[in-house]
Amino acid sequence: MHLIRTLLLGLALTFGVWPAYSQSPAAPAWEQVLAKARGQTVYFNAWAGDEQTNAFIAWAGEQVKARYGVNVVHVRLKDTAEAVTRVVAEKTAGRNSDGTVDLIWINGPNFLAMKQQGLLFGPVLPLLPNTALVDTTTKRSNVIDFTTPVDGYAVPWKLAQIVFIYDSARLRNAGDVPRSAADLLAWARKNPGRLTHPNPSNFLGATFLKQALYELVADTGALQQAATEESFARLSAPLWVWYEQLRPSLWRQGQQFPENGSAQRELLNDGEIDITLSFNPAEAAVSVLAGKLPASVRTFTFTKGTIGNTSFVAIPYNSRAREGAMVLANFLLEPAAQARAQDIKSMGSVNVLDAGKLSAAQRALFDALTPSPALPSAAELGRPLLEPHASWMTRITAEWQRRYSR
Amino acid sequence: MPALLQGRCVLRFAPALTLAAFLLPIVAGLAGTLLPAFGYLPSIGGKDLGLHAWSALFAFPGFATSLQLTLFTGWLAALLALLITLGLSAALYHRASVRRLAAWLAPLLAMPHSALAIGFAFLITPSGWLARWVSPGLTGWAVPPDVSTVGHPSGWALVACLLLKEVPYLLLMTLGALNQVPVRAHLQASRSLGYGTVLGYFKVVLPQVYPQIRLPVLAVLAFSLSVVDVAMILGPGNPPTLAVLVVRWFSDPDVARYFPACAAAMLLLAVVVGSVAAWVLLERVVAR
Repeated sequence: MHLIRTLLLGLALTFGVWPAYSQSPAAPAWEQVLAKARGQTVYFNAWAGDEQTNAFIAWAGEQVKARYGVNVVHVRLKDTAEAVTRVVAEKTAGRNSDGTVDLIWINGPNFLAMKQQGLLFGPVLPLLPNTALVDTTTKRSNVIDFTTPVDGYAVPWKLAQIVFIYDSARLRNAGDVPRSAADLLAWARKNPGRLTHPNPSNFLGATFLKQALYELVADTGALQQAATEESFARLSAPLWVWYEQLRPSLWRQGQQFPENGSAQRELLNDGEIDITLSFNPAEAAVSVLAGKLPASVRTFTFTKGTIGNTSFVAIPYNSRAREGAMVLANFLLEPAAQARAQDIKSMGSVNVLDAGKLSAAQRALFDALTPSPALPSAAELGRPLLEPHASWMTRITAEWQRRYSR
Repeated sequence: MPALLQGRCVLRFAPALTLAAFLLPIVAGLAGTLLPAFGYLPSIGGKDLGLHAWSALFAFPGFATSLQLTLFTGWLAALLALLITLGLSAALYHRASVRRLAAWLAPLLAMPHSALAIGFAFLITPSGWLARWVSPGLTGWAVPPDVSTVGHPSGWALVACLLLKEVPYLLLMTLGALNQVPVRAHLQASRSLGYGTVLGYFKVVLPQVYPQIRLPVLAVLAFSLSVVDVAMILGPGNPPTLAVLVVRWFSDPDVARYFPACAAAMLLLAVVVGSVAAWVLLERVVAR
């Protein structure tokens, strides 16, 4: 009997279904968490480079305070690694309880480092009631973060996905918009100087090449393994052939590149280029509201899908306000909070929930969001593709610099 | 009396103390850069002295271009700034309006470099104010032309903006220096020897003025070689100048970049010291 249960559990884990939340969460346990959380102060360490996001965190703090008596302090980070370093330092100093970091906005290499070194409390996901609403089947990055299985050690709170943005006042025919790497090359040749990408030393620039790589390799599964000298040379060869052909048709003949995503958005706004890209599907809509792009911009993606990833929150193992942090993490998953985050008047971040698991009233929250013609529909966004192993990005950046930085 | 004597003792050491107060932090900073440049920084795992930071620097794609670019833009800006200043001062020194000009130059010096650089960038980009002013009316451009200005690989936009800042500075210094020299008397004397005004200015007045503006000129050279903010805004990015590369590496999330950053910083120091030495040599050659 025990063996069968273990097998079933293993099977369930393999398919990314956490056993605890197929059942209804243990209500008394959550009541205890709420009781302990009351009066705690949660130090939420979160990247603070975006005003809209900061405002959302402030709002979430007020809500949690009013409803559950939990105080939230936003520790404003320039780089998530700062919080990771702090927890590492606390562990080195033997401060295994009463730590100063209670919740971290995290993903990618930072999450991997903390999970590997046992610096996270958990699995925390099965303990939260709202985990039952999370989409684990179509939004796979909620379960696998840059090829690292999350295993319940982090709580998803918003999605990022590559989208492209164009100005429909200049590209009048939506059918002409390039929807694959091959189309992009053909389009650039027909419209020389009207396409560019951020410098690949910036993560968005590297992601542009990674997205092209996804389309150009025969076996996308191989990208989920760490890149080796051999596999990188073999699998990335078509990418460089494609890029050699593309580069002469890029803006400034591919000799100059915008430093980052916002610099490229300005180029689109100034009419220097016709297409830009972003990791936030609502970037165009949010920018129109903020007066940073003309109202005629529209969003599109590739037919075969684009790379997406999930932003998580995680609780360090030595957190002083573990229960309070759980209450905040659970609140961030509330349909009302997710709907607010997705509104283009707020962050415009895509929610992590499964619409099929929501009640009619909860779905109505999402139907009531501020509409914008610049927003892509869920169908247009499609299923996000899983991020390749982090080593691919490092190697792509290095190889691009070796080839084109002279 | 003893109190006064004590006071005199302290005063005797005042210059040394002042120098120490200014120089000690620089020495400390220099040591903190020099040691990691040779691999020593235990807190991030650098325990062995060696040259790997330097090999990482030399192996960086675009390093040679970056160094060339630094030398080219730095020297060109300093030389042109000096030549333009001397030309302007030769043409203007005898006019009454020169005092009013000096009054206008001072506020220009107070403007932050990065502010001027951003304004200059707005002006000269193909989608900038100048182009918008005449487009599409005069140019017929519906979209900006695909021409590189800001960030041009040659660095001319950087040099141009440095000149905007350095020429007024040197001009102000030169006009001040001219007040110390009996220009009219000297020029009359040289005219009586058959030299024209401009030639006389360069042959007779300049040798007396240049020693007074020499330090400002060397400062302009050192500044042009190591400027960060203007080079970030107007200079090329792939690769950038050495100074920008250093800043980029110091702020890289990968702490291992700290070592080549320190090596590059030391190299930049050597470039500046070497350039100043070369300039001094050049002065002697020209003086002959």
